[in-house]
Amino acid sequence: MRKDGKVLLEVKHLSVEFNGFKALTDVNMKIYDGELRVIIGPNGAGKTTFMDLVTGKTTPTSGKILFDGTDITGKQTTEITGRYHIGRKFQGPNVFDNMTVRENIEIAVSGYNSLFKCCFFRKSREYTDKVDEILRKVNLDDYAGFAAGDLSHGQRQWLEIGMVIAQDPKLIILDEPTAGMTAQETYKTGEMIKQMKGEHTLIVVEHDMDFVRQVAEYVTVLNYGKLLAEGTMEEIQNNPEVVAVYLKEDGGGRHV
Amino acid sequence: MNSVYIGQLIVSGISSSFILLLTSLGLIIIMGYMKVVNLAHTSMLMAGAYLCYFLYQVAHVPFVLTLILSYLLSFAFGAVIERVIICHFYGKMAETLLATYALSIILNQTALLLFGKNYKQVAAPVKTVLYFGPFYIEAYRLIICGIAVIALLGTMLFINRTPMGRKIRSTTQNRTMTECLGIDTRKVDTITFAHGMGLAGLAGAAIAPLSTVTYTLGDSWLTNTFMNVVMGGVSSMLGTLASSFLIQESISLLSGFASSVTAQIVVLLFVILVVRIKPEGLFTPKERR
Amino acid sequence: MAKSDFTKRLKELPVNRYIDAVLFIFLLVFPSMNGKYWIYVMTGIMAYMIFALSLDLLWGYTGLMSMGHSLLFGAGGYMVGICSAYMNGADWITFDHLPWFLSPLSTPAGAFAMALIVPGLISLFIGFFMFSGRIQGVFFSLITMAMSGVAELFIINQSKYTHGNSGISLTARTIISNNMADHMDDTSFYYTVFAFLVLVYLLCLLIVNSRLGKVLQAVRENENRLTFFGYKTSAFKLLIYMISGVLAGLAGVLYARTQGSINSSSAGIELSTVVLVWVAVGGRGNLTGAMTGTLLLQVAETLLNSMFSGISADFAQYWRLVQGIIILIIVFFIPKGIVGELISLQQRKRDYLRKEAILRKEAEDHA
Repeated sequence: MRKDGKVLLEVKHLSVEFNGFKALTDVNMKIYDGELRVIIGPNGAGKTTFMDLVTGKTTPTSGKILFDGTDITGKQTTEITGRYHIGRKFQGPNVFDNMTVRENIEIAVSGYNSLFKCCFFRKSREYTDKVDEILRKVNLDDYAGFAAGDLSHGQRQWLEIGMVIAQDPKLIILDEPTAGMTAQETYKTGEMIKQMKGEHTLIVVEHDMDFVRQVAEYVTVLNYGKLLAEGTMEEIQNNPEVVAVYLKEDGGGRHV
Repeated sequence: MNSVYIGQLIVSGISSSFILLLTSLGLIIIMGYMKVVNLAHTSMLMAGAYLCYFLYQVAHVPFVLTLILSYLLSFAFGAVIERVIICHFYGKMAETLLATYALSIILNQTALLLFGKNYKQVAAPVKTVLYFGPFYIEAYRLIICGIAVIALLGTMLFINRTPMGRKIRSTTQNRTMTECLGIDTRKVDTITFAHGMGLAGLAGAAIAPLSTVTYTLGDSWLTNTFMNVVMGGVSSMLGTLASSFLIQESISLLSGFASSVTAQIVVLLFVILVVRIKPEGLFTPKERR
Repeated sequence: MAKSDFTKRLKELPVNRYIDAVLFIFLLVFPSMNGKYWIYVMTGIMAYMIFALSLDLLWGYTGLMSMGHSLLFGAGGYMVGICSAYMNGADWITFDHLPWFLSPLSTPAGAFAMALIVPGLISLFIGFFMFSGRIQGVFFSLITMAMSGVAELFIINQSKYTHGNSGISLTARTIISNNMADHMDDTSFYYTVFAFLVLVYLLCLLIVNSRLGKVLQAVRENENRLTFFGYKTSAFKLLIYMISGVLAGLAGVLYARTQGSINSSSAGIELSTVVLVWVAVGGRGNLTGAMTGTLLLQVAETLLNSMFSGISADFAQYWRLVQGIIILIIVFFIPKGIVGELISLQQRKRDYLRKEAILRKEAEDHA
């Protein structure tokens, strides 16, 4: 299934330096269409920097980022999100607090964001169905009428995942989607993400190893800005190097 | 329209610039260090002018002492206002604007009810007019320039060189961290706001001899002081100084050739243009990313 | 089936739409229960309600707190004012022809069009500079406030066309014409303004419930986040500022026609802030608040004015003081405004019921 798929995102020899500090060094990676990729690594490994580079928030010192065959290295964030359809969910829940959950999703639905289209927009059957489906996907269908600000922290994270889905991105980047969630919410998020796999291409960055074990099939490990290992969850767990730098730090006993 | 006329316009423009600097200083301190837009600022100018009238003109307190007392009384009033009203609205822009505007109405109308509509005159403590070649300037305007410089330098020393100033700066930078270091940020807020109000009272007292003291005195300063803050930005005193000069010199020069209202309009459009190009104000250090 | 669907939708309406209905019925029957004076007063209040609605679109929904909104109100009023004075040959008019940029004012219809276009253009101009340059919230407020202050001075200064401090009298009480023959009586003019109010209200309702309205609310909530969804927020802000400007201009026309005069304070800072107070008292961002706030405060002012005019000639000064105290009370105790508090009360009750339903459903699922 893996190697014959279409490559959606490819980074070649990607490096970035901040005032002499090498945040990423010569990283090569291929993400296939429809894949769910989990990126792990200790703090300061360059995970966030990697995402910043892909979404155009930071410009690389050297190397190339190819998305769907096009070179998007150094392009503006708005262009990357708008034209190339890369959706990113930031760490903190960042939603429209005083609007209802449904309105939040509706705002995010792609294809209606020009001034003209907003003025002459009429709700169609498909549109309503699409919003309903997204609400179901993120477990918020019962909460559609609530103001986003009245939801729990975990629910707001889900809402934002829903908003990213509504953007119809070709690639979804989730930055620590389970941060601040209860164990039960984390588990539900995992199931949610597993369902999204196949329909969307996802990159998930996560700390919580239980969560990673729940969702991951293919994992990339970063360490000190370098690509340390890549492989299935099983391969990674048995990779002595990875165990030495990362999994051990996670409290020894927790990895089986 | 000879060169002497233009030169005279420039000279009076310079002194007006310092006056504008003095009258905007308190506003800038409060906005820059507390992110609070104090719409009651110009009413404080009015209150300061009344203080000057009653202390200096009526009670014959020496002028220097009048200025100091005006500052202290306004400082105390500002501290009370901060504790009672302002402290509830930090971070809420619309509420702060409404509350400070309400305060401004209350101050103005109280002054009207207490002192009536009549204009009060304050005699200038110095009446000499100085001549420099073909140009002249009233000595009292020079004194105000001096007061403006003292107030500016004093504030800069206070903010940059004293322990209290250090606390004010650190609260602006990172409130939570400052609190963790055991500093009472509520007290810091009170002092910053009170100082800003104190400066407004001082400025009001200083300009009283140049203006007719009445309850609407503040209104005439509203546009210019706020435009000064918009254009100068709030993060550097240099920006304020520069924008005070730009605004007042332009108004002074333009009103020599057209009406003062035309000058006001031109300057306002100019400010909008500047803000369009530099939204953070002139001379604002580039924000760290 | 269709009927029960309708009643269900009626039940789901927020509480303020019922208040709107009551308000409009009240205004509809008002003339039959009151004399000439109160009909005249209420006509002016309805013009102010349109003004408040225009500000609510901008401040309540989009989060742009204009502190100089009466600049647009005054611009509208002065357009018809100058036209009326010119056509009826007011004694202070010293010029023979209007300058080219005011030439449409030589016909009444042209003046009415200008009264809507000029405020629209002013807001387009201000908005273009502000919104494309990422000017922050407070600076928008301060700059609009300064514009309004300067506009007042400008009107006094340009006395050739505006009659300076004295203002302009409009002789005929009509909507468009300046001919005394078309003069309307109080009641028919009342209903004309009422019709305008209903139309403006419906337009606002249409806007805020459309996708455009939702995007505007999202601008208010979190403009930064919205750009990540590919919205060009500056275009949205510009459009709503223009719409708001045109409506404010219309309100200015109706008010000038009702009063039979317009003067420089109609464009000044005081009225700009008074309209903010109306909207704040009623509650912003729900249309109802803007209208009820205006109604309550204006009626209170008129009533108190007639009560105290015997005691003190300077009632206006006391009222101004009372206004200041009202603002403080509002921001301290009911920051959402009267209608805003009612809505959130209803919202809390509905949330509670919904939450209960969800919990019951979950319990059933487990069983």
